[in-house]
Amino acid sequence: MIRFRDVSYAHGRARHNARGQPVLHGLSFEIPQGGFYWLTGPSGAGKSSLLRLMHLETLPQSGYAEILGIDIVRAKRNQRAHLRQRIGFVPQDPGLLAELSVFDNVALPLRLAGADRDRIASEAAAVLDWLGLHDKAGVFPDQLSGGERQRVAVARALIVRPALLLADEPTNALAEGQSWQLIEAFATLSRLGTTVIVATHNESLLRGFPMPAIALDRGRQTGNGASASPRRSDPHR
Amino acid sequence: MSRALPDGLHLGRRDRGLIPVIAAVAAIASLALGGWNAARSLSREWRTGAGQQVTIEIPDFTGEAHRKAERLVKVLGADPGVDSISILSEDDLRTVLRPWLGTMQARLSDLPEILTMTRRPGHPRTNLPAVLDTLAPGAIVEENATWGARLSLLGESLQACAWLAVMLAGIATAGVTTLSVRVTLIARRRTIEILHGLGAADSLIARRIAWRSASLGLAGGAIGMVLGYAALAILHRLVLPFLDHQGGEHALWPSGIAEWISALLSIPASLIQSLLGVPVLVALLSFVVAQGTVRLWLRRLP
Repeated sequence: MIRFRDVSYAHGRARHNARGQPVLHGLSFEIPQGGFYWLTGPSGAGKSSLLRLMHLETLPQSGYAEILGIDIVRAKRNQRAHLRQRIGFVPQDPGLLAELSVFDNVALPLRLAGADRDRIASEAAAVLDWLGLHDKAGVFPDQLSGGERQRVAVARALIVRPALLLADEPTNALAEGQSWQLIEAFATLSRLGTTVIVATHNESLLRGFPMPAIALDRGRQTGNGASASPRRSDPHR
Repeated sequence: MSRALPDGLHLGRRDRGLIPVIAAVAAIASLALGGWNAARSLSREWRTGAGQQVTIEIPDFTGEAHRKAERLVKVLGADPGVDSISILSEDDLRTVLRPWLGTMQARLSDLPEILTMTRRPGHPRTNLPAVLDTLAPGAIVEENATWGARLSLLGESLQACAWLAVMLAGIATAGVTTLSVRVTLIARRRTIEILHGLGAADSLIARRIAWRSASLGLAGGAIGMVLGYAALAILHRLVLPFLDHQGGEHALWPSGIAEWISALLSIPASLIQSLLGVPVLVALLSFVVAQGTVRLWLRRLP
């Protein structure tokens, strides 16, 4: 469950952007566990800021924000670290570690969670295979194409079997066919119980996968399908 | 985390320059510990040994000096406040005078009688002037205690200075460790942010960097301790001729491995124990300082 009530956020100490407004302003929505949600809006609407907030990279300055049943402002640092381990995040910039191979990048969340070697090896192999990266396990990120790096980031987000999956324009570097495959994979995950929130402004995907959406513009909600029950629809129905 | 479990921090590449700096500081700390040890020994010696000594000179104007001296030995030797008393033999006295008088001292016939007396610490002091007035009027007394107390105070001051030097070395170690950790944090900022985003707890990141700092501290501390130890061994060898119970037959520099080993092992055991603690303390200090620095830095991340 994700529950936001009148949540506002501004970057850094300035607390206001160049226009004198918070980056996110008075957001209120509820997202029950499971289901697939779009996060839509033009550039600068605050989609990335909202995803970073839900990934606990930042904290709101006001309002109440609950992620997976935990009040993220009041939670202790250790609780937040533990909560992050249950959240898969695919940033716009894949954020891979250049010194590590694809396998080690993907395995990292499990290692940080203290998983044993056998589990790490089997789960990393499985997720790489699922995303068509099994032959890239020993390759380093700078030897990959943009699309491959994006898929590695997705693999790293999925390996922990997250309760919440956040993706920020995950299809930017992908061809259209790959984009559809990825979103279909996310939809499958949502059917298995993971809450999936994907930020995009790709109209084709939005039309192809008619899921509920949180719409933002200049940091304010302009539309909210989130409080409705999630539709577990097949996009090809 | 070992090499088999990579986390992308790769701490080993950038911070090895810390080792020589810590080694230099640890060497200074080792020398200061050596100074503290020496000052403590001297202070104790001055307070309980040399400070208890009294020199009595009986001028020989009437030819009765030796008889007076013997009477003093008999009376004062029985005093519970006196540990020992003896008459300096004529040969010893001429040996003492030779550096000042040269061959001329051989022609002196009426040398004074010199008695050396050691008081027994913890006992009531003998009223020496009263005894001398009775048994050897005109005798001159030189109480080492008058300068012994001052030298003892000087020794204690030197100990305090040595401790101050050790403290300053500790502060310097903490300073360079903090600087090194901050450089690491700046250099690996993106990696740490990614690890933090993937759910790495503060304790895990701090422990990882602190262990690295501790290992560098241990290496630097060990090198510094060895350097300080070698310097102290040579200094100790230079001092040996002045320690009457250890003789003065040593050459200035050891020759051969056996003599070097002997010189290295000649350092007092208490000092060796203190020196062995230097790398451990440096490592511990580095670990604690690095933990604090990293945890403080991580506070900027939610």
